[in-house]
Parts: sequence; C-alpha cells; structure tokens
Amino acid sequence: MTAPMVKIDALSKRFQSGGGLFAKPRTMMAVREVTLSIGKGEVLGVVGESGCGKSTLARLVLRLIEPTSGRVTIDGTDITALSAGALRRIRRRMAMVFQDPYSSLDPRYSLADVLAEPLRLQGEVIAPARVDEMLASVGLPAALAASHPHQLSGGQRQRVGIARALALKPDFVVLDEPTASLDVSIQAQIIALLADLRDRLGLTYLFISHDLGLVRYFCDRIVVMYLGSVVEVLPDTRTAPRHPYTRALMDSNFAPDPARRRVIEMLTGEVPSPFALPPGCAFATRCPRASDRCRRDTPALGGDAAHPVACFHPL
Amino acid sequence: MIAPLRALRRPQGAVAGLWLILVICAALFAPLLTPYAYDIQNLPNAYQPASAQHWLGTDEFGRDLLTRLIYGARTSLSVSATAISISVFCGMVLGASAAWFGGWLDRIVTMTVDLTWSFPEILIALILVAIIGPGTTGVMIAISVAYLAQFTRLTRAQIMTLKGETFIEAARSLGAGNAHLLFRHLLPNALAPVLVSAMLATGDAIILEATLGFFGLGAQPPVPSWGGMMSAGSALVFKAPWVIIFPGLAVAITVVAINLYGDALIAELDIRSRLRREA
Repeated sequence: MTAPMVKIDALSKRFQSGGGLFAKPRTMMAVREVTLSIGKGEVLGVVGESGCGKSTLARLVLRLIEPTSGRVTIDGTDITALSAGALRRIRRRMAMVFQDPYSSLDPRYSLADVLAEPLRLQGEVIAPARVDEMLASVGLPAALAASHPHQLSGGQRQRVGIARALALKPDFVVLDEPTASLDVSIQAQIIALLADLRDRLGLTYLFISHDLGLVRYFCDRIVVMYLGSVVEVLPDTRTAPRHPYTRALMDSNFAPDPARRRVIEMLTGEVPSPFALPPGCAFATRCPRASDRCRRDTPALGGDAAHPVACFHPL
Repeated sequence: MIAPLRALRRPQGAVAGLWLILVICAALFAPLLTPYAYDIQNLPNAYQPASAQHWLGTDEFGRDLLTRLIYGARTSLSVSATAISISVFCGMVLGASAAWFGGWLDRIVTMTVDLTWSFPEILIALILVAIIGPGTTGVMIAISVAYLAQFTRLTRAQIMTLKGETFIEAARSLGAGNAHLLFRHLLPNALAPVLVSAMLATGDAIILEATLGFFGLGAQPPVPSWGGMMSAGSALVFKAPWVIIFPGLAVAITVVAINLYGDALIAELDIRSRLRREA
C-alpha cells in the first residue's frame, strides 16, 4: 500500500428515529468507530449486507451527512472541520457515483446540462467541446448530448453518472453500489469502464457493494462491515477469511462450475435490530462459533495489523 | 411541441381551448368589439329581448347585454387570474421554504395552512371581504388568501418528495448550495403540477368571484361583472330571463372549459399521480 490519501478516523454516525411530544426517540449507530485508510491509487472495497451502514459510510466520507464523531482527512485536510465555502472548493477533488441511475439524473436536464453542472457549480467556463469529450471518455456518442435521461438505458445513465463524477477531474471517487441496479451483462461493462478510468486517470476508489464476488474481482483490499462496525479487513482478495461472518458471506457466493459447488452452510438466527443491539459481539446471534464471552464482551478490531479481525474465535 | 399546445390537439382540449381563447380575446379587446358603452343608460330601451341590434337583449337600464357580458369577462378573468397568480407565488414561496428548511418554520406553516384548509374557501373569502371592504381589490385579496393553502400544500408535498431524489444529493456532492438546489432542481421539477392545479383553481376562482359579485361585494356598479349581472337579473327572472341566463351560461361554460382543458393538459404532462400527492 502506498501512502494513505484518505484517512478515516473513528468515524461514527448515530441516527434518531421517532420521538415526539411524549415518546422518547430511538437511536441507532449506523456507523460505529470506523477507522480506515485508503492509499493513493488503491481500490478499497466495502462489503456487507443491506443495512450494515456501508452507504452511510460512503456519505460520511464525502461529508454529505454530518458525522456524530470522528474525522475524515484527504491528503491531510480534515474535511469534517471545513467551512461551507472551503468544503465546496474541495468537492472538486472528490466525487461520488450513485447506486440508482434512474433517480440520480434530474429528469428535466439534458445530458449536456448534467455534465456542465459540476463545472458551473465550481465557477468554470464550459468550452463547447468539453461535453462531447466527457461523453466520449465514458464511451457514449456525442450525439446523445441533447437527449434527456428518460431516453437512455440504465447502463447509459450510469455512464453519464460516472462522467459527471469525473467532470471536475477528482482524484478520489466513492462508488456506492454503482452496478447494483443494472443487468449482469451491463455490470461487467461498467466495471470494465471504472477499471479503465482508474488506470488512465490514476483514481482512488472507495467501492461499496454487497456483491462479494464483484468486490473480490475489482478491489485491492476488502473491508467487511456488520451492523455498523468493521469486522475484518482482508489485505488482498485471495486471503482466507478469519471472521465467521466473512466466511459466511464468501460461502454464499456460488461458484460458476456446478461440479465444484459445495454444501452451503447457511446462517441461522436473526439479525438483531440496530435499535437494540445485544451486549457483546453483534454477530453472536448468528455465529456458529459464538461462546458466552462473545455474548458478554465486544471484540475489538485487532490482531495482525495487515489483516485485522474483530473476533474472539477467529478461523 | 410544448404541452399546452399539445393539449389543444386532443378533442376536448381543442373545444375547451377555443372557448377560452375566445373569452380571453373578448376580454382583452372589449372596447374594439362592442358598439355600445357598458354604462350608458337608455331607459326607453329596457327589457328588450334578443334582436339584430342587441344580440343578447338589454337589461333593466336598457344597456346592451352582450357588451356588458364582454366587459364582465374582463372583470371576472382579471380578478380571478390575478388572485390565483398572487396565491401561486406566495404558496410556492411558503411551501418550498417550509419543505426545504423544515424545523419550526415547517411546523408553523403547516399548522396555519391546515387551519385555513379546514374552512371552505367561500367562508374565508367572505370574512376577508367583510374586513377589507367590497370592491375588486378586496375580492382579489380574499380569493388569493382563500386558495393559498392549496398551493402551499401542493408545493410543499412536491419539494418533500423531490428532496429525497438522488440527483439532489448528486448536486450537493459536486458543491451545490441551497439556492442552486432550490432554483435549478427542486422548483423547476415542482412547477408543472403547481401550474396545472393553478389553472384548475382559476375555474373555481371565477365561481367564487361571481358568488361574491352576486352578493354585491365585487366590482361596484356600473362596472359589470358576471356575478353582479346575475344578481341584477335575479329580480327579473320572469320579466327578462335573459339578463340572468347569459351571464350564468358564461360562468358555467368558461369553468367547464377550464376544467376540460386542464384535464387534457394533465393527460399530456402525465402528472395525474403527482397532483393527488398533496397531503
């Protein structure tokens, strides 16, 4: 790993829900004390099931929502402490590609408007050829510049979303499940495009996904999250998992060759409500290796610095 | 082609649109179209039925009914359209700021609006005219306040839904501030349903204006308004029924036309579901 470019330090986000005149609001920790660093040019994958806080983490890292505590620094600049004006200026260095290509483009905007918007927002003058250039960089014909989002397919819209994210030539891009709402054949095209753009432009990616197979194919390191906490960081995609949850995630991925398929050990038990987490390890309710200690104490992320795991009984 | 023109290609939209264009042109060019003055009395000529000189007959003061009907269109349309425009503008400002800024501002606006929403428009308008005093200005203010709740609620609901769209978050991630989000994304997307509902409300406002005019609270004589003409005609139902029938027909046909054209426009814009999303 090269020198860290993005450092996430003990980042937490607490959400409140409900609560009125007489009712006490319920709180949940969507992201709990997450500490990570992303090297320049690295692709860091974050996996976990829905509701584990990975999309919240993505928004916290770009400060689209305010953290409850913790810091995020990009090349030494603490973005959680920046004023509105300074934050707006530093936004040209970081960008985000969103999951849903259908609602991520304003239906009233033509593609030319969509792609010119980031430049306008940062007070740049738009050269007429610039939009064509941006379309070409994501493999779209310049003829589409005047069309509106509803005239495009999901894959084409996601390409526009990527072109918009890259309009200001950022060096850090958060990809929030960029392929989750696309057909499998289109997913491969989008991943190939993202890989190509990283090589050409030297981008650093934070890649959020629930598809472990995809993450193992695309990412350098893999962070596994469960109910808001990081439970394991895999130093590369071939390392064997040590946390029982990571193991279960990997087992749930089918091998393409039916002859090689093995019996799948399914997780039993319920995911605890994030509003009422039991004491101890959050995974203990579903873990085949859980002991009394797991139900009493919370394991911290530790062990090998290159391959930390939060488990009392690692594999 | 833009939606208001496309709506004219639908059969009901075409008939309704034609009538509305006719009425609007009549109102705009009233002095050019009418050979008579609307206010000069000619008592020997009173109570004339329809004839070649007076196509719709004359009223109790011998004034040409068609002339008064055309000038009445001026009053009715300008009062209702102005009132609704004021209402739409204020409703959009209130609804958008309540939805966008939330918190106590949203609570106060929502509470006040829900309070006025629980009264019928006519009651609000009557109370306000009673306070301000009769006349076109009073009626205009009264109508615009009476419909304020509708546009505030509609705008607020639109902005609330749009606020959660990913393209808002995307614009923020690129450095957009409140003004950009509101004026470049949220309001333009909320505009179509609000304008169509404004158009339909103009129909209701014409009835409200006529009602207030009928009670003698609108334009003061001798300036004609459709409601005022019906009020005068109500005393003559058996003696000269045309004095009440023609302004009544004018109100009815115009309001039906506005609703038909509005329906065609809604179908063209494909926003029926968004208009229902008001609460």
